[in-house]
Parts: sequence; C-alpha cells; structure tokens
Amino acid sequence: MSKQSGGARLGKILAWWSCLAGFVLLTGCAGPKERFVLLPQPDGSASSIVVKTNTGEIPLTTPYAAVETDGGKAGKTLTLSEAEVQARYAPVMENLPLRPRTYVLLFELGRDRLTPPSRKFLDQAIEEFKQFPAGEFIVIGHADNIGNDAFNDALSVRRARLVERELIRAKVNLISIEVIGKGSREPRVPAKKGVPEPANRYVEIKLR
Amino acid sequence: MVGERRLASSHAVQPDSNNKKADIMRQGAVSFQWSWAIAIALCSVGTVAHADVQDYVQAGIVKVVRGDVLVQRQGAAAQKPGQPASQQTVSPQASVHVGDRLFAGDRVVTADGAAVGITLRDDTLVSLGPKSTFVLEQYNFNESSGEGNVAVRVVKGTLRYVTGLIGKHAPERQQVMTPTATIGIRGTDFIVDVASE
Repeated sequence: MSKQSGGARLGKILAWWSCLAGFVLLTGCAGPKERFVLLPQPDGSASSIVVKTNTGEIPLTTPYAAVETDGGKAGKTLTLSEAEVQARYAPVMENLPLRPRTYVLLFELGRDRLTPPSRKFLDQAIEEFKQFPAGEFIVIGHADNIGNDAFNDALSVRRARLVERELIRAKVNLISIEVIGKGSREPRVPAKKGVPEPANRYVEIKLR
Repeated sequence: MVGERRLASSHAVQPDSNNKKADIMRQGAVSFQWSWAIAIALCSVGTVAHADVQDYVQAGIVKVVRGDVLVQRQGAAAQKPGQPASQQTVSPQASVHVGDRLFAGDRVVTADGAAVGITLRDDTLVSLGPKSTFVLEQYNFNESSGEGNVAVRVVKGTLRYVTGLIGKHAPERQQVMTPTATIGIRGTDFIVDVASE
C-alpha cells in the first residue's frame, strides 16, 4: 500500500528506501512532500507554529523559518529569504484578502452630524473602502453619557445610519452593512454619567 | 444593543435546477468523495473525524479570485429547500466569484494558474495558490463572545493562513491539517505547501 503511493511520486529506489524508513518508524504510509513556512507578523510581534507529524513536533519560531517533511518525516529546520518566499509563493502572497480595518468618526453634540474633521476623514476613508472587494461593513453608533438611555440608543442608531447612507451614496463596493447602535454603553474614554465627553460621540466602522 | 442586519445583495450559490445535469455531476462528486475516503483510509495519519452537525451559517466571503476556482458544498448548506436533512448531500461543483459565501464543509479547488482569497467571519484570512484543494472542515464563530473554532485541511497545493479573532481568543481552537501533519498555531501567518502527486 505504502509502496504504491510512495512509488508513484519518487524513483523506485528512493521509494523502497522511504517505505523501509516508514516501516521502521511505523508511519504506515509514505505521503507527499510538504513544506511549512512561518511568516512575520505585520507589527513585528513574535509568533510561532508547531508542525506535528507522527514522527514528532517541529516548532517554527522565527520569520521565514521553514521545515520540509516527506511522508511525515521532517527534515532540518532552515530559514528562507524573504525574496525566495515572495517569489516561490507569489500566488498566496499576492492574493491574500486585504486585512480588516477599523475607522472611528466623531459626531457633534446630540445629533447625527459629523464633526468637520471627521467629515473630511470619511471622504478619505471612502477612497480606501473602494479598494475592498465585496466589503462587509459593521457600523456601530455610540453616544456620550448625557441624557437618558432611550435617547442615546436612538441617537447612536441615527449616527450609524448616517454613515450607512454615506457608504451607499458613495457607491462603495459592498455586500453587507450591519448597523448597530450601542447607546452610551461602550464609551471610548471613561466618563461619569451626565458629564459631556466629545470623544464618546462616535461611530466605529469595521470593514473586512 | 439596537441593531439590524441588511444584505445589499445576495451571492449565494444556487442549487442547480437542471436535474439531469445535477445528477450526472453528483455521481462524479460521489466517486470523488469515495476516492478521498480511500486516501484517508490508506494514511494512518491525518484522520480527523469529519465535522459533526454544522450550522448552516456563512463562514466566510470570497474576496479574490484569479482564474478558475470551484467550490463543492456538502451537508446542510448543500440542501435544496424542502429536502430532508442529510450529511451526505453533496452539491455539484460551481464556479466561485468575488462576493460568494463559503460555508463549513465547503471544498475549494483551484485550477492551474488560479488563486483565491477568502476572509472568514472572525477575520481569519486564507489564500490558496494554483492546483490546490482545500476543505473548510469546521467553522463556528460567535460574534458577540468572540469564541469559535475553525478546522481546515489542505489536501494539496499551497495555503497561506493568517489567524483572526478565534486564534486571538483561543489559538488551540484552530486546526490546520495536511495529509501528514497538523499545525499548532500561536497567533500567526504562515504558508503550507503540499506537493501534488
């Protein structure tokens, strides 16, 4: 069984060898050659993966660290160059979807009207939104903690709705918009009830 | 929370209304499944039990398509309206377009020179290179709690996987499998390359 699957891929002698090794190690089956490459995080933070086969576990802990396995049997861990990875794996490197983004827009006191800087910012952001194919938007409105909850709930929804209308008007390439109002329950900065806080009159746009 | 959800447009893959064509393609699909079952049986490793009951919930959206990319749906998401529920139901293969939804159980196949980019609901990003076969075996994600689990399998070809919120909350609830390995993930971006036979 394992001879057949190994022999289909490898030369006859090599197949014999790998089957023998497989038998000794009780792998049972010579599978395909596989390669695993750890990529760096965009913010430079540490990350790692552990490749587990039936012959052991290989940790990859530094950017572009790579390991090859043959039928589950791991070779040496090595470090590839960035250029090598970009060239060899261009299709997956270039066709990853854009990373999700979050935007915050501020509003004027007690109404669904953007502050002038946020108005400007939204116009710029819309140009970015248009780069997202099949964009999925979540638009979350908020109010600061003055006035009663019912008013703030309604106000937060109105603010989110304004942003929704702007997205539709700008003909952004989107497939869904989820509109949510959170009233004054999720402030960006802590503030006591009844104390005005302009930073909490906001709409958060999540786009993926 | 006050809210509502609205879909601007729908891109779900529709079941084939042409019965004859669907039947022929389903036969092909069944034999394909059968050979896959043999492949699992032959290898003593990589035998992770197939997904149990899956919610018929969108798992992700196709964001990038280059060349010919096909999806084959199975289980609840492949059901036609009014059909009794069955885990064995397999849809015919259908071409994938930007904006299409993906569901747990979907098998995605790319042609020579093709590639695809998919964003899952928890912001996990996946891309597949040419001549690749990928199965989204399990997917659950609760947007309010941030909890869920994801299991994907690379049968062959190349995969790039960038962890999302599921991985942020509980890295151990992500599984990436190849014919001979599984990958433990700790907040990460990586490539898997399974050489074709």
